[in-house]
Amino acid sequence: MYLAVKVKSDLFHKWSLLDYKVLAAQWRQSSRLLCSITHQPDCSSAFSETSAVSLPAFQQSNHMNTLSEQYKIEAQREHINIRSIFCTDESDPTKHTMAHEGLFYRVPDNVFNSHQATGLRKDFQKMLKAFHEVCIMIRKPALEVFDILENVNFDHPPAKIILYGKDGCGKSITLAHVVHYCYQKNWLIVDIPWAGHWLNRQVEIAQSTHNQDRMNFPFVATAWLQLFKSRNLQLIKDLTTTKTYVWSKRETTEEGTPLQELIDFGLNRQRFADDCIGALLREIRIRASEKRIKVLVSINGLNAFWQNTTQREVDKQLIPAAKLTIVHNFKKMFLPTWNNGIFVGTVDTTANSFSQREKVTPLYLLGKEGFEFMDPFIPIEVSNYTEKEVHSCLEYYIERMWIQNPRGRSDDGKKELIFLSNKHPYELTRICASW
Amino acid sequence: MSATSVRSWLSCRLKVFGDSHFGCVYSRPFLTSTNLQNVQENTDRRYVKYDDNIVETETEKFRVFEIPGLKRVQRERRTQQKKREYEAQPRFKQMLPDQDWTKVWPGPATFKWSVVPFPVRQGFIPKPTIAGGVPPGKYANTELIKIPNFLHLTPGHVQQHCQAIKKFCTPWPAGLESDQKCHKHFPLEVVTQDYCFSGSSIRDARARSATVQFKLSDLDLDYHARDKFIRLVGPRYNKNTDEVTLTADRCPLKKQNYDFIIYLLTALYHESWTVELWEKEKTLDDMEKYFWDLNASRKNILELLKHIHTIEKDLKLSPNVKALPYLPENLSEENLLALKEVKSYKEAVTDLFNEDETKENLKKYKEAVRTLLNIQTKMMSPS
Repeated sequence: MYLAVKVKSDLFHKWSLLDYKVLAAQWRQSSRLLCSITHQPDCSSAFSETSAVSLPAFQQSNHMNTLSEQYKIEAQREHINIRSIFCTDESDPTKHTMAHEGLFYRVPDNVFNSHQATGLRKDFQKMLKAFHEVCIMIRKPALEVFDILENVNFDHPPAKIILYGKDGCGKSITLAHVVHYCYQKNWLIVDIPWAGHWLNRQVEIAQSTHNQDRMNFPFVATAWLQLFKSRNLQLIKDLTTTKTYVWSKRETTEEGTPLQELIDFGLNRQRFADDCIGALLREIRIRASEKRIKVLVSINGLNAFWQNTTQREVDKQLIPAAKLTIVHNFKKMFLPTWNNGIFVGTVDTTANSFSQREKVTPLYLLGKEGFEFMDPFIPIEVSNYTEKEVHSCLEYYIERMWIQNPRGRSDDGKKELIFLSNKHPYELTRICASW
Repeated sequence: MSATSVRSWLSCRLKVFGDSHFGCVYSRPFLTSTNLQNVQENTDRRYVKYDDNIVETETEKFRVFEIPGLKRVQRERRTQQKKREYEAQPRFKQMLPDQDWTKVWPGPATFKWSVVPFPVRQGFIPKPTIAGGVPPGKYANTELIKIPNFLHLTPGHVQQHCQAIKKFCTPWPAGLESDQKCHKHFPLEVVTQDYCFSGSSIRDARARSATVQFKLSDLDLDYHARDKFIRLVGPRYNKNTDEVTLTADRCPLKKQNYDFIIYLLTALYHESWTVELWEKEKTLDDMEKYFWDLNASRKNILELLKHIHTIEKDLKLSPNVKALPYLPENLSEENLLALKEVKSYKEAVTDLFNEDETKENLKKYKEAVRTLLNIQTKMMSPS
């Protein structure tokens, strides 16, 4: 496949005669020359004769062939840094519109560390470390979610939006973008960075004190409470409980206790942490209905809620996720019993067991039971890059030195990269890593 | 391994390589137009004898009878002693282009290279350098002998057969001109077999079986009866062609087996129409497809709409600011189910379950949910 692309490209025959170093030098020289050409349009024909690289777009700039040529031309015409072509200065997602589609925006480091980092792939985070910045591409699915968030009626029960798509297409990153949007709007963010993580961990299990049929995951529950507290402490500091919760004979949480104390109780008394989450979510639902806060419920890998855990019961049967207290409590957030909130989540093949990963569509991943529980929801597909997005992404990788090979920086190399990755975002990063 | 042994092993390897390389006649790596002639000279005669691609330049000379002993002959060298034997010319060389082929090849026969007048090649060549890179020709080609041929079934042969049996044929019945008409008047297709061979017995156990095929749509069945019929016949029903195939070979005679199939068909038909008491115990998991009216989705939607209605009542909104303007005042189930929005939603969900989750179906579902909840967006949904 690789060879086929090379032979197909017209320039290969010329280039194959040249050493790569010579090529790189020529490339640099030509780009420098190009800058001067834009000042003196008369020289362009003379240049094209002498140069080994033929650039028809510069001779007749009215007929642009590819987007990458367009990028270059714009960069040189405007005498500006090429970064402004694929990056936007608008780092506030509430102001992102269709005009920003396909552009990267910089996420402030504090927001990324506190709200987004937990749910993303390890290798993506490594890449961000290499880039020395966190940039997220503004893509159509995220803009569509924003559009719905702006137009949905918050007096109604919470609307549900489910992102789906192939592995590595950017569902989690789209969700991170949505979380940033809601953070910017000062909404309460109730999120599970990766629900599949709850099921696959071999941690201590215990019977629920509240309901004998349910199982508790105390470590998972306390970890989540900690996460929630670290993110939303400012927003919940004025909220108090509306009911007295009796945990045991000696331990109660009186009505009117601040929610922060309720969380601290769960953190200190691990035994009740799972039920404490239930109480906390109940209070959030009540306060949201009273219009005191707006709530975003975001769950990455929602389909895990209808799967089995990897833990076994006494009778050797795998425990279904529905039997877990935390899952039971979170499922209540989807019921139409409250308002002033919205749900945005993803369904992912990797949250399913190995035998159920054939398709990426919501009904297949959620199953009949899950689908009927969630419906009606709005499915939004996150698909491969578009032509504009992939060029923007390549320019960004070149600027960040993720693509270092001179051939990868040429028009032909870009074409080859696009062909090899088929515009699949994750494949593109992996292929570019070796260029 | 010591140094000496390495050397001896290497020389051995080199020797073997050299032998195989230089001893082989067909070792030329590339075959170009200039050395093609050389390759053909070197190739084995048995591959190219009577090859139609090679023009024979030798002409048969007139043989002069020589009286032995009259003339002193020089003894030929041992290698040249072996004379070529005289071979008769193959038959295909004398054939005329307008001959009657049915006379040449009257019945089924094994392939005979000398009789077949056209060039044909078959077989495997181990290397592209052997025999000019093409499969062997027809001369002494066992591959062509092995395979069955149809040289006795050319259009000419078939025409002769048809002419011969024409006197036994009757005219095609009037009114059965098209396949549709045939199917209409004869919905049952019965297939039986007869076996005819020379032996001590004229019986053949295989001849007793009978098969009956028909389209399920030809039977008068309602939804329940059709579903039950399909469940009863099981794998004998082909979903794609809507055909049922019943086969029987349990009785010793063909007629008995055919009668049994007709009895079976009658029994199946009447059994399909009966509704047993236990059929009322059919649960959702037993359903042959997704019925929205019986599933949780219907309940969810009705509850949600009623809930939204009460919320809007509590807010005391005027009718023109209502979020769901299509909701009627009277929220009875019939009223809600008759709504256009609910109907399109029902259709979308049913399609998702019964058909596949295609892009179109998911888009349809998305649009149905949007209209149902009246979520106005400025952006068009990405196609």
